[in-house]
Amino acid sequence: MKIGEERRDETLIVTASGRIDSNSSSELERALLGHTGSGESRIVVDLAEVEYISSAGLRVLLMVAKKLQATKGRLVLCAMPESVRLVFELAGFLPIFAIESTRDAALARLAESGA
Amino acid sequence: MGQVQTLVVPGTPVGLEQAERGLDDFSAMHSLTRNDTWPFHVALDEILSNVVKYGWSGREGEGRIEIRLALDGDALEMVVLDDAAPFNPLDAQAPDTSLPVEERPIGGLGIEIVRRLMDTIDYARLEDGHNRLTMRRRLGL
Repeated sequence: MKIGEERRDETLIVTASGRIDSNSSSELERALLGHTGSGESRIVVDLAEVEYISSAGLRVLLMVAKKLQATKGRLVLCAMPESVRLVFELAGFLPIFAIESTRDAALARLAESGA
Repeated sequence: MGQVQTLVVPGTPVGLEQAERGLDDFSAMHSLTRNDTWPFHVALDEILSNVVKYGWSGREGEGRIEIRLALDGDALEMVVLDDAAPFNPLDAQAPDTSLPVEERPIGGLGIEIVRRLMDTIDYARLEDGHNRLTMRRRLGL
């Protein structure tokens, strides 16, 4: 799995590509947690290039979302391929996250929430 | 049923990586698409990471996992055998997905995903001291 990061205004955009599983999820965790402590409050995770995600990846995203919430931050997921969306659905995780179909929609959602 | 491809990996995180690569090789050999095989990659991750963590009482480096792959008509069948302590992952209680996630027990989420991804999944404890988990899913869905 590869992780890319870029900043757009006050939002951190993290792009994951490849497979998010029990071996790679700790890398994703490090990339995201590295920012929750440093005042980063708005994060978009772009999943367009993710082949699939397992429960290990779901747990990391949930934990990061909770940490951000505690500091009034926001996490928005975007561009889920069908394989990723299906796993979220089967796990009952769709209602838990803010999810948009495109990166632009995710950025717009964060902008309007005024976080 | 088509020819069975067997791979043997150690019960460790490295073994899990080897298993995923073995599935990639099988997929390439039979010209399967990512859409066909990703559910099996997820299943391998859920099942093997569980066995590695709990199957041998947390002692890494012990134990052996065997994975058998075969095409059967329009389906792929995957069998996972391990020589760990008797454990039926299907016994784990299904998580209550109507509960807020914070109130759900952590265990069982992975196997619930596998259960819902696969068309069929069956467990047997073999007399030779192996757990055997057999799962099938039609391809090209």
